[in-house]
This record gives sequence, C-alpha cells and structure tokens, in this order.
Amino acid sequence: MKKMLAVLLVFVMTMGTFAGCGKKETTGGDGKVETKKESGQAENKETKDDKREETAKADYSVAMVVAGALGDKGFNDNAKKGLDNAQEAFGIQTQVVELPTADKTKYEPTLLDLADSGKYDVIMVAGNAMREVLEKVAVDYPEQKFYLYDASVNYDNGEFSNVYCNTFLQNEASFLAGVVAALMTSSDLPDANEDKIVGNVILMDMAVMNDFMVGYIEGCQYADPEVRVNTAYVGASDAAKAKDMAISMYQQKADIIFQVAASSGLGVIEAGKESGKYVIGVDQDQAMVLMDENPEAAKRILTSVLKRTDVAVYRALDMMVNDPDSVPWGTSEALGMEEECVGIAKSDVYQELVSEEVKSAVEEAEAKIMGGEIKVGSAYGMETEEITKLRDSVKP
Amino acid sequence: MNVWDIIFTTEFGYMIFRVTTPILFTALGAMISRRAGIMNISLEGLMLVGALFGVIGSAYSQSVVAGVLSAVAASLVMSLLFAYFVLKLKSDLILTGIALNLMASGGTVFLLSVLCGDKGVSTSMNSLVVPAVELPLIRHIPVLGPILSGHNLLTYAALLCVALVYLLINKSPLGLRIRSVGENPSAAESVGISVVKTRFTALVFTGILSGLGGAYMSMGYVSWFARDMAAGRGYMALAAQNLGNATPIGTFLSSFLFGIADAMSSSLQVLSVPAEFIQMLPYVTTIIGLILFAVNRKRKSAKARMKL
Repeated sequence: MKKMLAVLLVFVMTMGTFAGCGKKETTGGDGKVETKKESGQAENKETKDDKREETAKADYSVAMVVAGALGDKGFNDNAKKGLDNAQEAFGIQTQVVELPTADKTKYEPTLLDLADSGKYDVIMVAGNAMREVLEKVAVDYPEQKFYLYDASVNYDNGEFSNVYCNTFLQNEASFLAGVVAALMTSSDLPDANEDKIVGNVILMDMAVMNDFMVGYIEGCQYADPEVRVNTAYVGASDAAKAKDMAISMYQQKADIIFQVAASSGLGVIEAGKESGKYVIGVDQDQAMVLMDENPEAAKRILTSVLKRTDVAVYRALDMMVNDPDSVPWGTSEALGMEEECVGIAKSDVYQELVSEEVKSAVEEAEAKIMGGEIKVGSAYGMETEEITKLRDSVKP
Repeated sequence: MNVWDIIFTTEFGYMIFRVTTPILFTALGAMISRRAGIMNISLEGLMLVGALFGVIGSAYSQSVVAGVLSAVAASLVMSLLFAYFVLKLKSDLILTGIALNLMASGGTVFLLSVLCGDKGVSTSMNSLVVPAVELPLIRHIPVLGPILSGHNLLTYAALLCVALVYLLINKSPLGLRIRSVGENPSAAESVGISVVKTRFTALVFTGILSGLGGAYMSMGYVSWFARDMAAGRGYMALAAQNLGNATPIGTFLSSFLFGIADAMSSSLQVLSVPAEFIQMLPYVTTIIGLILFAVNRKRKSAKARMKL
C-alpha cells in the first residue's frame, strides 16, 4: 500500500515538473492546469483573428469577473449596476462570473478560460486581488482587451497595451468626510460629546482601504488639527467584530465613526444606532439604502463616502462601445470628483443634521481639491512606516 | 490612552459577556461530544446554519421564540446528519466535519439568495432579535450592575447552560453513560451500553447548543445573517473546550478567557501598537493556555507515577 502511494506520489510530482516546464510564469502548484490551458491556447490562437473581426460587427460583449460575490450592497453590486445600465443603454451582451474570495486559486484559471474563449470584446476585472493574475494573463493574450477598475497594473513591468485601468480618488472624498467629522464632533449635533475624537473602522490593512483612512485623517487635520482619530482594523470579514470595535470606540469618546469595512460595516452602523452616535458610510449613500429597511439606523449616517464603481464602469463601457478610439488602452486613469466617481453623499440626513457652516466648509474644501489647491495624500504612494506614523500621530 | 483605562471599565466587562456568549454555547456543545469520544469540528457549520435559520424563522413567523427554535432545529438536523455519517456510515470524523462546514458555508448563502435574492446579508428580511433584559436588584449594584445586567437573554441562557451541562455530565445517568462511552467504548459496550445510541444522544445536545450559539450571532450579537458570519468562532469553541479539559467548569473558564482576549482585540487598537499584534491575542492566548495545560498535566502524571 505504502509502496503504491510512493510510486503514485513520484508520478504526480514528475508530471508536475514537466508541466512546469511548459510555461515561464508557471508556479509549481498549478502546473497541471497551465498545460491544459496551453494546448488549448495554441489551437485557439489561429482561429482567434477571424473571430475578432466577426465580433466587431456583432454585438459588443463584456465579461465581468467579480472577485467575491454580488450582494455586498457596495462595491461589487455597484459595478454590476454600471454594467446593467450600459447593457440597457447600448444593448451589449454581458456575462458575470462570480468567484469566491476565499479561493484565490480559481482567479487565474477563470481569467485564462475567459481570455481563451475569445468570445468577449472586453473582460472586466476588479481590485488588487485580480491585478497580479491579470498581469500574467494579459501578456499572453495581447489581442484580448481587459478593463481593470479600482487598481492599476504596473505598466513598467510589461507590455500592457491591451489593458485599461481605473483607479478611484477615494482619498479625496474621504478628505471631505474628515472635514464633516472633525467639524461636527465639536458642534452642537445632538448626542455628540465635547471630546474632539472621531473614529475609523477599517476592514483590512491594505492600500485601497488605507487610502480612505489617509484622506480621512488629513481631512480631519485640515478642518481642526486638535481632532484625534481612533483607527482600528477588523482584520477579516466579521460584522460582529466590527460592531464590537465600533461600540468600544464610542465608549472611548468618539462620536462619529467612518466605516470602511464593506459588508462588515453594517456592524458599525448598528453600533451607531444602539449607542446613539453617528456613522459615515462608504461606497454608496448608505443612509438612502437603509432608509426603508431601517430608518433608525439610516438617521445615524451623517454622510457616506461615495465610490461610484457604477459610474466608472458605465463611463468605460460607453467609451468602448460608442467611441472605441477614445479609450486610452495601455494607461491608467484616476477618477475623482470631476468625473463624479467619488464624492460625499448629501442625503436628507446630511441636509438635516449638518449645520450650514459645516456645509459651506465642505464645499470650500471640495472646490480647493478640484482646483488643485489642496493635495490629498494617498496610501498608494506611501511606505508602510509612513502610514503607521500618520495613523499613530492622530490617535487619542 | 492607557491600557488600564480601557480594560478596567464596566463597559469592557460588559463586552466580555457579549463576546463570550456564542463561544460558550458552542464550546459546551463541543464538550459534550468530546466526552462521548467524538472530536466534532462541524461546529462552525452548525453555528452558521443556526444563525441563518434564526433569521428565517423569526422573519417568517414574526416570533422570537420560533426563530430561536428553528435555529436550534436546523442545527440539530445538521448535527444528526453528522452523527449519521460518522456513527452509521463510519466515515472519518474530521473529513465529515470539514465537508459539513463547507456545505454550511455554501448552502447558507444559496438559501439566502433563494429566499431574499441577496448573497451577502439578510438585512432585507424583517427578522427579530432576542431582547436584552435588565436584572432586577443586580442592576443597582455599582460596578457589577452595569457589567452583569442588560445582556441579551441568550447570554443568561448560556450561563444557565453551564450549570445544566454540569448536571447532565456529572450527575445524571446519561452523563455517566456519555463519559464511559467516551473513555472506554469497549468497556461500555461490555456492560450493555449502546455506544452508537449514546453518541447520537450526545450529538443531539451538541446540535442544540451550537444552534443557540448560532441564534445568538444573528439574533443578538448583530441583527442579520451574513455569509460566513461565524468567522471562526466554532473553531475557537472547539479550542476552548480542549483548553478546559472537557469539563463544564473548565470550558466555561476558558471560553471566558477567549472572550477577554477577543474583547481586548476589539478595543485595544486605540493604543499605538501594531494592529496585527492585537489581532493575534485570542490565538496567542490559546497557545499559551494549551502549553500551561500540557505542563500541568505532565507534572500531575509524573507525581502520580512517583506515588506508585
């Protein structure tokens, strides 16, 4: 029995090694998958050029790969909304592929399959999680167009003339949220205490989420240098833990917490409701989203930092379908307030609770950012130590 | 801000109870199956299923009691499924546990999307929560009052369960059978105790208790179901009963130890220490606890040998 097993193991490992030789970038583990792909790729390449011309005349078709799942009531759902809007407006064909976040080994084969099928004019992927995989795949399929949003491939690393990227200037919108929080914490907002402490609950210590934090902290400091910002990372998706953190922050005298915690952020909102304090939402106008289901919680959401993936996706598809020459393939665009891709939500709750002075201060900051007068720092260009230093420098 | 300013507050004490409740329920459940000789790692899945059915049950019936009961029932069914595989079909304990956990993780999301068209959270369902209760008299005691009073009803139920499980395991005939089956199945069999039947019974209790833990997650801790919301608490519970040497009191204490570490990891990030370090606390506590436990046991067994 043992012998059999040993022989089998040796066989598998040898196969793995051979498979590994097939391709340069192959990493040992998924060697087998790669070879299968490669043999398919060779056949497909010949037919691909004819196919491409056909599809150019026929309907434009888009594949959207969602790392994670729909139903997050935020980032992914928003992007899907943009896709749906584009489908309705331009009559394009769409295909959505959902990949569980937990299983990163599926990312590469899925993307390879989609690129290999040659059926799609453009393949949309999102976020930093997919970026690395895309960098591998995009080089092997130079004919296939890719659209990456909320991250950018490293254009210095290779020939990515078939990839168009969008990043979001979420730091600028978060700056405005910081202004709101810093000014409201010392205002006569009902239930706010006099301590100049605000909070920030973040899902994970990673660049895209820290980008919100950096903007928020800078915004707080700009509006009132005395304001302290209490920051905490949930670490992994866990709404209950996010709620605990928020409750504990409220007990540590924060009265407004900006949540950057995806679906776990609902825990922060519930904590805000139960503690009778305030929350700043993220991604979409969470006050409006929750108004019907849970008005009590919605009324605790002062504003939300909008990250309009729907607008960005729609904008990109609009270019690709209606004016293909205008798409800046091979570059990355940072979308901000001007493109209406980020901003803060001026919901009914905002109108009701935020005082006129604060509103005008926010508008002033908004104009200054758009005019280039205020340069908001970004976690993307920062070293880890710099971020840590900034974070620690404002802790209460 | 200072560590002590955070830890020595009544709010922190209150938080420990809130955080410990789901771990305690599930750890007690794990303990019973362990005493029957079954290492049950399907707890995470049991909790998840319980959490989902608590939401579904309470949303459709608009009754908290029905919600909790359906959470318990769902978890129970799942636990019986585990029992059927392991005891009747003699499948591997660990593999069955993993399979059930994966099934629960995917299955709950599937069911959620069928029922409310949402794959992430159940907020569109109008589910209910188990109410919090103020304890008469105790609430007026300074310091202890705010720590002990005002908790979710399920938190008190969890504490009550410690006593009940203690009586069950140590004082009842069934408890004796469960223990004997766990310690020496052949011996138990030889005096006419059905090993399979007794283990089935033990797993019924595990199902009920984990279901309560799950119900607390979605009907008290927070007020909705989210995908994979148990977030490792089932495994923590398993570790807690292990650390507690599978005794009711030990499990109770070690669950609290985990609760304290967990509460600390939620409230200490205000200090300027790396977040990762604070997030490590619950796990470091586990390891230290296990080491202390092992050292202690070794010393005891060495002493016992000396006496001989």
